Amino acid sequence: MGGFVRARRYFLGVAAATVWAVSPASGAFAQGTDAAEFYQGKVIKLLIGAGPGGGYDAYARLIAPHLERKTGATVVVENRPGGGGILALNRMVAAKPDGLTLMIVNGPAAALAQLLAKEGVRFDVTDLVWLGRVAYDPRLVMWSAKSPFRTLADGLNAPRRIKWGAGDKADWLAVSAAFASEALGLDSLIITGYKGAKEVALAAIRGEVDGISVSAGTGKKFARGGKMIPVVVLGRERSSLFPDVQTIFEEVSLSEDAAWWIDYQAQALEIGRAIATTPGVPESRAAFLRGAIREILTNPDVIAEAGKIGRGLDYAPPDRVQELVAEMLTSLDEEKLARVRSVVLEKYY
Amino acid sequence: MFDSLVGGFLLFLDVDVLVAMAIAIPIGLVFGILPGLSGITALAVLLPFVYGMEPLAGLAFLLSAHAITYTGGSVTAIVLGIPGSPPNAATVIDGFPLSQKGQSGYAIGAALTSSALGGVVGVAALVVVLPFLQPIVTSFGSPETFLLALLGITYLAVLGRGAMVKGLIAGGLGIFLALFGYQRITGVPRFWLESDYLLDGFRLIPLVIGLFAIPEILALSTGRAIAPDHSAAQLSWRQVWAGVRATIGARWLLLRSSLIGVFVGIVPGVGGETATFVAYAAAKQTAANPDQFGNGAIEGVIAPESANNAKEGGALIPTLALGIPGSAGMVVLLGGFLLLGLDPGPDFLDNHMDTAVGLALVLALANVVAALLVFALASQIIKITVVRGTVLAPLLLVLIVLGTYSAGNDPADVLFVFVFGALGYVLKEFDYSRPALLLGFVLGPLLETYLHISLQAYGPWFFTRPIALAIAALIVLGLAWPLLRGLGGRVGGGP
Repeated sequence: MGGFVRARRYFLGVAAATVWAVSPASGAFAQGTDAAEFYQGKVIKLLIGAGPGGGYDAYARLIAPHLERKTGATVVVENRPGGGGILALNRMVAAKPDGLTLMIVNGPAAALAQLLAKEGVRFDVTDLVWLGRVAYDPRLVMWSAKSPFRTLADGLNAPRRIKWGAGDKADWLAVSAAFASEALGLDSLIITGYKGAKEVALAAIRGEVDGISVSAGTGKKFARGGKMIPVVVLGRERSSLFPDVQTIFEEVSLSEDAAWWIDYQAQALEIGRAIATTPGVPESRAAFLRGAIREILTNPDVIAEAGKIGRGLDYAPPDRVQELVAEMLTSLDEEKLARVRSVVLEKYY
Repeated sequence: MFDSLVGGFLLFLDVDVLVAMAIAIPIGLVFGILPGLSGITALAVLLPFVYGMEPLAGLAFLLSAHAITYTGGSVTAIVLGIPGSPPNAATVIDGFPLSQKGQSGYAIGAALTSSALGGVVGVAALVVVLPFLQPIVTSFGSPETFLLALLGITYLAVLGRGAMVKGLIAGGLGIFLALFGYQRITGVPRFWLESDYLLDGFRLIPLVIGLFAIPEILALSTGRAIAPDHSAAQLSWRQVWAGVRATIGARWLLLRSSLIGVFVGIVPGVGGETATFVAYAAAKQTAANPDQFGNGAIEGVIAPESANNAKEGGALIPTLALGIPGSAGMVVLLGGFLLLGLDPGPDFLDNHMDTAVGLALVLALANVVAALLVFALASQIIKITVVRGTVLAPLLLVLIVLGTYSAGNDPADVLFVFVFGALGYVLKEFDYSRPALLLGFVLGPLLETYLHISLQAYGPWFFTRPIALAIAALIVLGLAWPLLRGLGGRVGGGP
């Protein structure tokens, strides 16, 4: 089997090289020929801040073989779970700035950890050399079928506190529930301690919590079988996965302040799962990597391949990612920051 | 239902599935036998290979390799006194003393038979409840998880080899070590001393290897062999057969321990180590000869090993019913489902009941085949016990260093093997229970987290849910048992 795989890799490598050589895109690479030579035979470490088997792992293992073909390097995926990705990102930032250590970063979570000055953060996300966005997922609110709530109006007129499930206080399950509660003026209690979105979903399915605010992708899976009811999308655009579920702006009219919480979150989420490399990497190598990442993530075959394992690709260029990160971190004045801090860390616990 | 049973059986009989299993089982055994490498590592290494396989063949490949690592790990626990994977630590307590007495054949016979039969009981439980998987999974909530952890904690005293206070001290130390790093409820790190490594707390693998392997390696490096009597190198098939018979004779213990395994497997937050320790302690608590435990009681091998393999059947229950992994290994198995184009969610059984049945059959067969394979190899493996310690010790040291490093790719893990090794040596010298420390380490965070969730979600009366109440009754009964037995003895023996 190994021989077959090698043969196939070789063939694909030749094919890719041929396509690359005759495609107009190769012109853009001309400046990066030094960089292209540099990567030949090297080992690229692709870090992820999560264990094997999850979404980040799936994306990393999807991208790795394509990155090998594009760069001529060997790409090794390294799982470094812990601290919601902070540990892996600390490591990536501390690596030698040679462009051989890459990471698929949970953008919004990393930026929020920095914004809230979470203990253990040793990075500045605005310094990262971003290479492009891999995927992003809007958030939606779902009620448990065992809760008394069916519609958003039920939640707005809840006779008691609404219980939400989350991992820890600064993970996006909690942040999103807190922001939605703040925007809608809900009387909420966020219960933390669950291990990730799947355990939170289980808690909701068995009626331990009333609601969850999850990524549309996760929500899609648990909406099957009718145990979870999709309620509203927390953004201005509907999700392609739930074309019939209205956005929060369609459902209710929000004050300017209420709308700010939804928009701020939606913009932060747009950073998505993005690839970055160590600050200080030579510009020519960064440009080379950016080109490779763009070609991989916009290739229809790769998109189809991702679709087969239930994952969507939503490439966005690195400057857009950089812009979103800067916006998220710098758009807050002192007063707003204090409110964000209170809403995320105190108000709903 | 009948159609899916037949459909599942036909899927299972496919040549691809059987070939995949034939390749996976030896790999899984090797991962199990080598300390440090565990089932999850096996899954993570094998995951990329399933791409492009037929769905059931791919899943059979992963599941077989994962589920039987504990079968291989039991041999290491018995022969070397080092748990091959963390849940095998409970087997060390009685399995290793048997080896030291030159009775490794007896222990191996019992361990392998319990592993195989426990695995089959786990699968039987899975198949029986297949039609009602969802209500079962949803009736286990956070209060049940909390009480299960509490039940485990009450066994700390039982693990203390007669000295209850020492068991409690070791368990308390375990809970203390578990406090390091991010707290799950708030995400705020404790005692991290500005060190990135401690942010995520101490890791299980270095702790287990350090506590159990280093003291044994030190003892070996003084030059003696594990079983100084050379006749121990000949595997006595009579001993093995005695082990098999002892296991079959202890059928209620086997069944009860397997069901404990299934039960723990169903609850997503609780790891496999809990299953084996709870089964072990329950066996010791109700045994006629509790003083024998720790000195080579065969029941102390049967109970954890049957629970160990049975729990994978239990862990498959939430995985198949809802797409929510029942154990850390199942997280990776779920990744395998996705790679193969299947996406288990709450509707998985409605559409793929045949795959579920096929997987159950795979699990049963893998458990039996793995045990038979180890039986065949046992006569070679057992020769290790008479190898001179000065030869064996450096070899083992290299193996555990490599195993620990490859489990987490972190050199600091290797450092902590030696730190915990020093701790393990001290504990062993002063006769504090190392298994009790491990149990405290595993259960401490569960107690904290799920008590918090239970109180928030259900209020102070959370334990009045039916299953929770049953577990609470078990806890009370367990604590009162020695007292009751004492009373019974006095009444029976009275004039």
